[in-house]
Amino acid sequence: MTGAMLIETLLNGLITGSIYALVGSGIALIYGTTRVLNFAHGEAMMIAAYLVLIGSTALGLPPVVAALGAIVLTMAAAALMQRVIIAPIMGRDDWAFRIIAVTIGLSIFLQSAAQLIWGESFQGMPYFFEGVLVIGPVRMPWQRIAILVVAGLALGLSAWLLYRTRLGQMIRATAQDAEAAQAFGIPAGRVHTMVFAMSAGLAAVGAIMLAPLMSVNPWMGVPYLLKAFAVVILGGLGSFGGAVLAGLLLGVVESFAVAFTASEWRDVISFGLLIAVIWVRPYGLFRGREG
Amino acid sequence: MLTRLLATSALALATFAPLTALAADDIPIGGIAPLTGPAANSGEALRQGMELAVKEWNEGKGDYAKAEGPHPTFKLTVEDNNSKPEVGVSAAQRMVTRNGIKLLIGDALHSHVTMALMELAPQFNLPIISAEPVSTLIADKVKSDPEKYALYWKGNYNSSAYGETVHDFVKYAIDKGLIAEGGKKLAFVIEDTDYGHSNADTITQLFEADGWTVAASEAVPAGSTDFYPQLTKLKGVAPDLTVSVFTAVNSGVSLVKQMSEQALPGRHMAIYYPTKPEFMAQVGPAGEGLVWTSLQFAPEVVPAHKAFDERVQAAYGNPATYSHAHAYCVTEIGMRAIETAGSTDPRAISEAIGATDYNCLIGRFKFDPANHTVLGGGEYLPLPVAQIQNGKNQLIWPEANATAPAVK
Repeated sequence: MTGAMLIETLLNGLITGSIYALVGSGIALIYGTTRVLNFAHGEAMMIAAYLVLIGSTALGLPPVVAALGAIVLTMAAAALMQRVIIAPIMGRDDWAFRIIAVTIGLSIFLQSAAQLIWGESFQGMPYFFEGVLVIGPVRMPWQRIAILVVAGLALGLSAWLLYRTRLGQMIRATAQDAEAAQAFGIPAGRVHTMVFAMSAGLAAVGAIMLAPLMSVNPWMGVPYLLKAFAVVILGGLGSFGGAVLAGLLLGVVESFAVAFTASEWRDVISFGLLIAVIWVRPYGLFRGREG
Repeated sequence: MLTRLLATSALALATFAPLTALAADDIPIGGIAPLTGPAANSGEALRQGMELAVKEWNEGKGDYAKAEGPHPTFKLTVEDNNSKPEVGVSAAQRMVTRNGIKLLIGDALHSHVTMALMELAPQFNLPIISAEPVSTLIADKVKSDPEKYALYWKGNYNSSAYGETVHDFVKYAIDKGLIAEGGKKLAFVIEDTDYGHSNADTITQLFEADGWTVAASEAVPAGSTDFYPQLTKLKGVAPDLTVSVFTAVNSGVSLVKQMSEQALPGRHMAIYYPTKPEFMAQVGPAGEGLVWTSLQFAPEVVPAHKAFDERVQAAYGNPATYSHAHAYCVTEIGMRAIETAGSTDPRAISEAIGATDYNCLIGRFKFDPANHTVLGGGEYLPLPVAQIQNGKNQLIWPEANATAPAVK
């Protein structure tokens, strides 16, 4: 493998991994705070992608405005779904399995609704950043480089919110013990809603950056969900930082797996790594102690 | 005793004969296609093609097998397979037991679903005809047990026909100086399905016989859109020819764009996905010069295709695609077979399908009796090669049918 190929392979892995990190950290955040495994998380990506597509093409908004609007609306939709569908079920006994069934149902409902509203066609949208960065034999489109930069900013902002703000303190307190947090005046129900919104926001960032690279369609979130769950388990259930690092690690492992074997082995190797890690460290690479 | 036996036999015949003779009621037929999931784009087009064929037939505008009426009428039910064999099989079983279908058009798109569906032909004594699936494995299965699969027919040529087209065109292009054979290194980027693999296997066999070597073969899940890891690897092996095979148009668009971004060396030849209108709409300048097969539906070039496109637009408000046309033709074959059979007897319908020699929108449909597969190439279903030139598809091979010369 030449130096250029090594750099490209590493970059490819980090870019793919940054998407895994955005989606996986959201699932980790929700699970760490509420103990809900959200199988409809991929649909937050799909909704955001359609919103940015509508905003930038049908409404003719500037890309930044369309993207910010899509993030805000996706977060609002996630908050609404949490309040209307998830929260009432969490108030019942034995909600853990019901919530899995409900989120799977919600996922299928949202996919079908998107197909009914926007059709089954794959819809393309222009790149936000045109052109290709060429350094010697290494070539990388600016759109893909932007994924890495924007994902880094979004994850950095989320980490700052979690560890450096009062809201973050409330989230972490609720994650540790929701009832005790409530006794101290923290509105646990509202915190849960905010966590759902924040997680959807992270998924939305990933989807918006990906939308020009992959045609927007009702099922675009599905492939990322399985990988995101792998990331959450690899990083340690409920660990935000662990999910970020595990996402990047999984992306890099997959990229090198393709480089050294055949593409068919990519998932075998990445999930093999997952099994090996769980075998050695049953709680993942970073045991979750925070939301 | 004998009198009573004859009387009961006559009564039984009188009672059950109408079950096999064509009744005045609509004859129920079924279709299976991916109406949800990543292949729903093709599935919806296939559904519309089937529905339009039945609608026109029932309205007296069909391409009837018999000149004189009255012609039988049909009731079509189309169910979703979600691109999964088990879902397709369940849907087909439902249509047999609930709707009492006398013919199944299935699978409309997927080879891997067809491999499962064709097992229902002997189980339910049901004539089945698939539409777009091309995997040679299906034909091999029929050949391995002709009696078991006597009621199954494959409404598209084998993937070997694609392979032969790619091979013959490349040979022609090398002779013409359009493609440099260089070190005779071949690479594949394909979807990880029967369709993708059977195409790659055939092409590999043919090219290896000419001294080519497979430098890389990358199979990715259907619907994939990130090919950068694969393209980085391909740049390292520098293939002289890369062949890509995808049914999902989003995969094709992403691959062609990313190949352009990566400035992948050598010539690229695509199979199937550029048939989708979304491909031309989304690929942009990255698609310029792309060589692909097979352009079997071209409303901008063929008047009959344009007329069909107008009928689809009028009925559904969207443009017609190759999938619309193929599903339409296969449905016509099925309905014509039932009309020819003059009953809903499965064997009679199957024999009528086998005897088909029918010129439809996309070519001449005739089945090979040895493997129940539609013949491809030559005078039968054509597999022309197209090239995107100035943002438009042009037929470039065979030279006799070319609308423009190929460009380097």
